[in-house]
Amino acid sequence: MTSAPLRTTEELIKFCDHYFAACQARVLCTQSDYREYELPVDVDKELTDRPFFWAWIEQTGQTAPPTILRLAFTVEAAERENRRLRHQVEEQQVGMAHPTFIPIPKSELLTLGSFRLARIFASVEERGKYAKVKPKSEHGKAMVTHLVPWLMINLLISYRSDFLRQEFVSYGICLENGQITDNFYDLIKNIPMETVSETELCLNATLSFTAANQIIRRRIEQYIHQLPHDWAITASQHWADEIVQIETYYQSLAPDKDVSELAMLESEKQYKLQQLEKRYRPHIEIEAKQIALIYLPLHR
Amino acid sequence: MEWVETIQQFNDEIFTQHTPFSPPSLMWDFLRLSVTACQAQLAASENKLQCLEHIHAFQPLPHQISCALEVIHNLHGRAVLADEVGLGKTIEAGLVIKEYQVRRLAQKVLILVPASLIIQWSRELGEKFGVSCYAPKKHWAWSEYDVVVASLDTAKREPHRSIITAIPWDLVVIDEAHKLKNQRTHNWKFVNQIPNKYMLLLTATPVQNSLQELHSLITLLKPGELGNKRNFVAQHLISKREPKDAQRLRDHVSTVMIRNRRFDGQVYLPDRSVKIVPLEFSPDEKLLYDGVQQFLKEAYQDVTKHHKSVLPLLTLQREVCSSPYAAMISLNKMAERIHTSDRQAKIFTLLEIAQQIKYHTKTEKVLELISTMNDKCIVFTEYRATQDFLMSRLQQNGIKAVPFRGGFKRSKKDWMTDLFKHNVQVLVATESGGEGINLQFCHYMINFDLPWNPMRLEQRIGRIHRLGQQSIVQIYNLSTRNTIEEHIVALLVEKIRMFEAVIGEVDHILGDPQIQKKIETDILDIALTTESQEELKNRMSDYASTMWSRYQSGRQNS
Repeated sequence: MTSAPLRTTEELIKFCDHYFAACQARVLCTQSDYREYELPVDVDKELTDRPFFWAWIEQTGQTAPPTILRLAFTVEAAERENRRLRHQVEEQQVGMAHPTFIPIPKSELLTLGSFRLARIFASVEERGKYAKVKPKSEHGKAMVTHLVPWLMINLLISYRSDFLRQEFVSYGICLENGQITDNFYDLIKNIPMETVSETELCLNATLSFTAANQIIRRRIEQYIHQLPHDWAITASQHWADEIVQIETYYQSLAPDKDVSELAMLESEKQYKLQQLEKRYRPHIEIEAKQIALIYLPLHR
Repeated sequence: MEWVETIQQFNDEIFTQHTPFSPPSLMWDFLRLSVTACQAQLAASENKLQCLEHIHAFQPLPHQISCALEVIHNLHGRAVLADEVGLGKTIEAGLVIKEYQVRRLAQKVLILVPASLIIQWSRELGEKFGVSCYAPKKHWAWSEYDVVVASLDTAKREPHRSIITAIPWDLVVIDEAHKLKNQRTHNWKFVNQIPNKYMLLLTATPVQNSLQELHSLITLLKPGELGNKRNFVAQHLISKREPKDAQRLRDHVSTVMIRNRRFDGQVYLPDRSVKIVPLEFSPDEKLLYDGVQQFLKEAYQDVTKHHKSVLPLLTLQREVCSSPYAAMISLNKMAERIHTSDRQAKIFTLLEIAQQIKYHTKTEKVLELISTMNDKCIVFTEYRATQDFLMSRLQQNGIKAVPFRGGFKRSKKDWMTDLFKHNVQVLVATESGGEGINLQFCHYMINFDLPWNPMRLEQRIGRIHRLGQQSIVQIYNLSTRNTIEEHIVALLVEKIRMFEAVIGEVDHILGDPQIQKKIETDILDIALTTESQEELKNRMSDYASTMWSRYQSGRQNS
């Protein structure tokens, strides 16, 4: 398995630059390990947590000044930029005849686990759910090759018991002949793509989306079936053991109790057993994260 | 099935002109970003703490990491965390909370702590782990926020109780869990009713009086693990405090409890170097000390004969070791209260002598030490008067200093700590100011006077010599020759190894306030009923040996 993405400062900066460019946010300042972005309103709503503010702005028909994000990617950059921002304000004040209070802006540290990055993740998850694309045609040259439609489905598989493991898989199915390709996303991710227009949609498809979906579904079931399931067996074992333990325990308490107490005890036991199930029951969840219709030339 | 719906939605979306986000031409960019984000958030399969990649404010220690891993992987998220005081149980709990959050196994987290620790917990989780918590004041807040910190006492009262027991909590953390040692109490019954998937019970003293307390805690986590109470007693115990087969019980308990000890070698702290700075009184000071000593001895005989409180004498005895200014306060008070003209006259003479003193040996020594240090330093004294005097002398000598007292509000304490960290060289603290404040960035400490009780000394040192300290800690104890202080220093410092052992391992023996008080009065008795320095020395050393053997026998019992 390759190492997880976004673990280095460079990756994070690249990711943010890419994201804010796609959002069409204005870049106000670029320093090493530091960026300032001016947010368009729709992005502002997604990245700052202030629904009441926006409700108020909209109902009173005002316009809000755009939020400026000052993102530092390292502690050193944060400190350096904070000094600069403070200095800037102080200089402004020196020039004034009657110095007034100006709030000193501060940079925020953007790291894995920070609030802002979590919001950005949520934003891209929403915005990046679907796509309909084809490879970018070179400038001025019309695409003459025959294009074949593929349906790509990227899935998050969660193996849950008292612990959680997850796996990201990608399948592509050719809508002309039903051929399935594993790791589809990895194969095409580096091809520059552009959105297809309405008129070019779904030409030679013999398979409907629903049918394609069924095929991929079966493929996943096969895939999961052949995996080792020792994690689930172990969890079931723990679960069973603890059920026995609880049953024995409550049985051993019973002899000293009267009827009403017994009823209480029984309901307490039932609830402990429910808790146990919530904790241990091994199961697999599958969630479609991205779906795209992708047109590819016949011969890659 | 959700997946089918997603396909349907995709179907709808792809064939309509409408796309929710502008501009449609950048769909592919967002999709690629989305894949990266998704892969970045995957719960990894390896058995490691994934949350470490999300923690940037500090570096957890190896024993804390291994503890959190053990809880999650081997104890299935249900454990008693029973580390000794000062090893970071909060950090361990924080790691477990964060790991479950990162893996999205826990969303609703309930943290029940003593009321006085609510703020500290929220801060620590916020600053160190980036976990934002809420301390509910209104009853609806329990369901509104994901992570809530509250006191057990608030939580168990209505209307909170019914609301809390109706919420399916993913993780419940209870600090100071020894409050749940009795299954018949409201506390225990309430906690037993809180729904929870994972549960952590934090206590430094899982067993205070009887081994059955352990049974109570473990029954909350895993009912039946140790059988019912009667079985447990029959199978495991000879008496209340004595297990039948200690090893078997220990093995059994290790499936639900983790206990790190300071001396297990898993916990690293840099060394501390303790230096005694011997001082000689100036003639003026000597005159005052001897005068007060004479006065105290007479008063002590009187007091013990009439079974009156020795507390004022104890205070004066300790104050005179600190500074004339500290002693003058007590002397003044006594003068107001005493009506026999003979003794009143004596007090006035003593006050006269105290006022005459021009050269304060200890204070000058402190100035000298600080000027050679060239680094941050904490000076501890027990007395306000001494603190004020020290502050003014430091100021006169151009050394920047801030005071620190127990009476300060939290915000002022933080402010002073902050000033000390960034702007000034010296912090002059009174004893009570110490608790709950971490000053690991400082490596020097001067004990201007010493508390007469090893636990309190340890707490002082613990302000800087604790987890997170990176360098050797230098501690200077000022000790004036031919005073009781000299012997206290000997008792506390030269036998420090013993106290370290005592405090490190069995906090509850010396942590008992009654025993602490007894130590103080014992020492006073020794000080005021001996005639010569030689005798004083011998009696103090005998006293230390008795304490040592008391500790030894206490250790065998526990």
